[in-house]
Amino acid sequence: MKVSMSWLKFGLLLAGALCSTFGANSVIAQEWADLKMTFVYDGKAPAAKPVDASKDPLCLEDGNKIVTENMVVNATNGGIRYIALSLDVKDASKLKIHPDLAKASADKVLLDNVKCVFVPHVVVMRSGQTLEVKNSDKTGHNANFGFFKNQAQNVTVPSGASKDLKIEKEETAPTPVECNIHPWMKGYVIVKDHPYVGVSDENGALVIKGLPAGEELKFRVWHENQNKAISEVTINGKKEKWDRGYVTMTLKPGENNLGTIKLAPERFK
Amino acid sequence: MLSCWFFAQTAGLGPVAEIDGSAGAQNPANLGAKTPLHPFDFGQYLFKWALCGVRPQFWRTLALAEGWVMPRLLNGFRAKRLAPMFGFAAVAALSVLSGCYSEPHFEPNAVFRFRVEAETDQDQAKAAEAVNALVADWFGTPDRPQWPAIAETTAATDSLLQVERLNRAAGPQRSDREDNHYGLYRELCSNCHGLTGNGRGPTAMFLDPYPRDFRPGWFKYKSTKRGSRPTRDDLYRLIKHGIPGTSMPAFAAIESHEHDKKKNDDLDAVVDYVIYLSVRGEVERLLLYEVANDEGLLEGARARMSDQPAGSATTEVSSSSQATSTTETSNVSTASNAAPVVAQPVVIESTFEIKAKEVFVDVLSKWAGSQEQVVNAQLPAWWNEPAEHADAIAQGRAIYLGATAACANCHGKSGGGNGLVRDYDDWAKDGTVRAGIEPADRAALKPYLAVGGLKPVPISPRDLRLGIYRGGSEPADIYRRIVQGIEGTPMPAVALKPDNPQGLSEDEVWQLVAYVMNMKAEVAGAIPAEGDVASRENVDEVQP
Amino acid sequence: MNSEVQAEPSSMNCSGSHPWVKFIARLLMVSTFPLIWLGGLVTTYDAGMAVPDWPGTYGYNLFAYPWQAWLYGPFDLFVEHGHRLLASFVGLVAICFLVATYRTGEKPVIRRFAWLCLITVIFQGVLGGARVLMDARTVAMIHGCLGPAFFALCVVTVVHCSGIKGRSEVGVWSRWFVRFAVATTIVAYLQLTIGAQLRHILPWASPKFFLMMVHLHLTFAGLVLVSALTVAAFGFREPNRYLRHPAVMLVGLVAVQILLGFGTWIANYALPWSDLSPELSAYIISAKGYWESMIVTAHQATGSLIIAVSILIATRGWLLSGK
Repeated sequence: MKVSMSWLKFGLLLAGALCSTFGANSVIAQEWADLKMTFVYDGKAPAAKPVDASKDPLCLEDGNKIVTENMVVNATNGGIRYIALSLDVKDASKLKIHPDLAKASADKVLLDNVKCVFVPHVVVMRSGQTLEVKNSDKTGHNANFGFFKNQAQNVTVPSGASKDLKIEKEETAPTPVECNIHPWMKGYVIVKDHPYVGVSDENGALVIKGLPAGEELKFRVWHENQNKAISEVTINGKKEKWDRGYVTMTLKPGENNLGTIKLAPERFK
Repeated sequence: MLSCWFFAQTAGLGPVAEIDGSAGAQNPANLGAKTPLHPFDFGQYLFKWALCGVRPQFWRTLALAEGWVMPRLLNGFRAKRLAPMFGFAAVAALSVLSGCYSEPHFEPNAVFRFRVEAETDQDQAKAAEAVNALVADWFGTPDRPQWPAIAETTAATDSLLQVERLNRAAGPQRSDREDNHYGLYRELCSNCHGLTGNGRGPTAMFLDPYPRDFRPGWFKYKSTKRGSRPTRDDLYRLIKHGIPGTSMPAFAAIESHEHDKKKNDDLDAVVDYVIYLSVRGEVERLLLYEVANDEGLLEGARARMSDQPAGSATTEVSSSSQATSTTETSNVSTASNAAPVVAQPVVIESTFEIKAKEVFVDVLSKWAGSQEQVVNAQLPAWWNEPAEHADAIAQGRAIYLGATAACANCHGKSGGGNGLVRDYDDWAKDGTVRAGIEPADRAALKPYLAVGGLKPVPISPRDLRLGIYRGGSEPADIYRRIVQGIEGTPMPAVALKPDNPQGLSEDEVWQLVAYVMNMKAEVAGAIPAEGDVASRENVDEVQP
Repeated sequence: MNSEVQAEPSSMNCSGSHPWVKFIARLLMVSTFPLIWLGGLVTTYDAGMAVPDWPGTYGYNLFAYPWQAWLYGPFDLFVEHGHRLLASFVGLVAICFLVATYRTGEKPVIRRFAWLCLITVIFQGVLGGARVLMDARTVAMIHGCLGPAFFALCVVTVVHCSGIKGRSEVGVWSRWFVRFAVATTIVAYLQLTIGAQLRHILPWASPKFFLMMVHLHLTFAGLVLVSALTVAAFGFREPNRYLRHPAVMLVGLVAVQILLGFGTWIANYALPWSDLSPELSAYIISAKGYWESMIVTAHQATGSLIIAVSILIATRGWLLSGK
């Protein structure tokens, strides 16, 4: 009995050593991929709706006009802004992360209040980072975070002030942040254990850099105004099913451009 | 039979058996062991057997008998035509009784499941089923509460509540000769807060604000930090004194009804049970969230359920813990729960169960650690100095209207609560906004209402001029509301020094407290305010 | 129809029962009302399960339970055991009444009433026992609804014993008078059963059911008011005081009852809306407080009284108009 136990231990040690060697090798051999795509609204771009902010004149100083941000579509090229694509992994500690991105930046992640809107509208950060809620306006704001796994917060941010919040845990879904003083103000915070989240810009272009190439990766697409999950897309003219907003792909090293992804108007509310 | 039985009753003039009212008399199975077949017990046994054992035949016979007797009696009133009606009425009335007593169950959190389904865009029936099975195994039923005995949580549990006292608040309402009350939660709380503590009791729709849903673990009025759980004292205080401006009554009479001057811990038992419901509900909620977002966990949960056919585990555990038989007749009122609740060992093997344990430990540590989260609120020295206090009120007014605290943005310049916000609390947002539904959109609300969500009611900033403070009217209460905000509501925490250099100092907050507490008097004109009070009423537009 | 009219010629030349029968019938009626009040208190104080056995009290025979333990014991026990004692007293009176009707050779109609009273009171007692032994709030509700019905039966019995028939002339509208009094009785009784649904609501009942019942209760409150006012409209012109007086009383009771209804709501659920009344919104209900309990109990007791008075009018009108 004793003998067999020690043999077993030896075997385990050996296996462990082998694994770690190969593991180290594979890190060295690991190649990285960049993922690019452009989301386009397949129809006439809906115009942003103006917001009645007349109750707080400070929001309207210098002829500032506030419009809704829940459906921002570029009028010239149809690009959809604020679509988020994030890597979906159960355990980020087992994920291969590009050495440059391995550690979360020590810098604070900024969520600013500018002219009575949240900037950026969708904040992306990693768990363990600090979120700096800043108020660049003359008026007072508050930021009400409906976190699920982290502690929900609702802080007042006076004009010119800022407030730091340490966000410890990953959030499965994007967390809404509201300013209750200005009911139109709504933004989102995406907190992940890994750096692989992309948000589309004003042209609908979305980039995620430094992804591990050569292995199957699962992503989830999200837009705040989606009508249920975005489960059907048209990639370069070809219809594809993204079940419940999930898409799985294996990337080749270097740039991977999916091209133009058209989303039908019925994908949105 | 009846006459024999009554004869037996009148014949026995002394105490037949010493019945302590807790576990004895109403349980024939127990009685049998004490005084077998005494006429008294036998009569009760027969009666109960007739009521519940052979229900259909018994009631049918009784109804037929009534149908035969009544018309003959009523013959003299020319009411023969009423005969069928009597028969029908008797059958209808008695068929209601034949339901006897069926053990109630906790309601699954359908609204939260609805939210998770919206978030994941997937039917979560299986996840909900698995989670409900585990939660039932770990926490029991409304009549037979349980508490999972997990080594890591023993210390936290002991500091939080008395598990064995859970029987006091659980089960149907009853009391005994020593004036020990049982089923306190159903006597005092459940009509509004619901049997599950989901804030959805029968009367819920009529109340404004809605009765609190304990399950998310959010509590508004407490001495602790926002996001922390309240202390036992916080809960006790709310229950004892009620909440002005709401339908929450004061239960001080329960505390003082002690008869034989022994320590009366009824309200403590209620606090225990509220914590129990909250912990149970939060474990259900968090676990459902985990399982819905992790298919691996769901597989483990499914495997667990196929191992244990539904209900078997529960029955086994409850029968051992309550030491009562589970036959149908004794089921009727064995739920007196006089037997103290004992923490039950639970099986923790699969990843699903390990996750459940993690969640439970996490939830419990939040509750057990609440005492450390109490916000210190020490009255400043000037508070009781009239001259300085009057100064502070004037200072507080400037702070109230100023941009840093921004009170007037919502509460209005004169405190009337008519600032510019139309908003909802987190309990309403949980199943609406966070499920992608606009609360004001009546058509979009339909699926939310269908799963049992209460119609979202806008939350309005408090009218401070009334002087009604829901969370307590001590200066320290108002102070805590200001520095921590009110959890689950749009009321934010004020920016404070030194954390925030632009924020208020502690003393400034106290000045604000002084001003807020003076608003009622200010409006009433008892203390002359700066400017004309009446005209200020009309200029309530927000001007930050 | 004809045969039915001829079925009771004996009661046509009635001029009141034997004084003892009258007395016992009145005693039965008078002692039932406090019993209803006490039963209401049992529900208000949730004392229904303060004594877990039945018909004994903690193993004692009902009447042998030590009076010190009853009077000085817990309040719940005091109320519940008191309700039982008074109920058995009413039961004994019902037995005496039956015996008296036979001993004095009363007319069959009175005897039938006596039988009906006794059977109802026994059935009601058994229901009370079933409520305790089964610990079923539904049974408590039925028990609570049968109580006022028994009270109404006592009133009808008393009127029949009083020999009011043909004692005085009635106005020309008596027929309509009776009809509306009957309607009031029926509507008020339905109202009472709806009220019982609210009072004995099960903790797992849905909010929608409660909502529906509240709306129904309010609707029926309106109906009771309208029919009571109609009765009063006839009543004020009625020359016969046997009908006029209770008709006036009925309207008064309904008015009081509506006030008590508002009071009951406030005593149970408060009025938190400060724009309605700042004073009321600051009011904190004192659970099981004295006034709260009394208002709620008075509301249900007055309900029984309304039924009793309207059936009194109906029966008197019926008998006076020679029906």
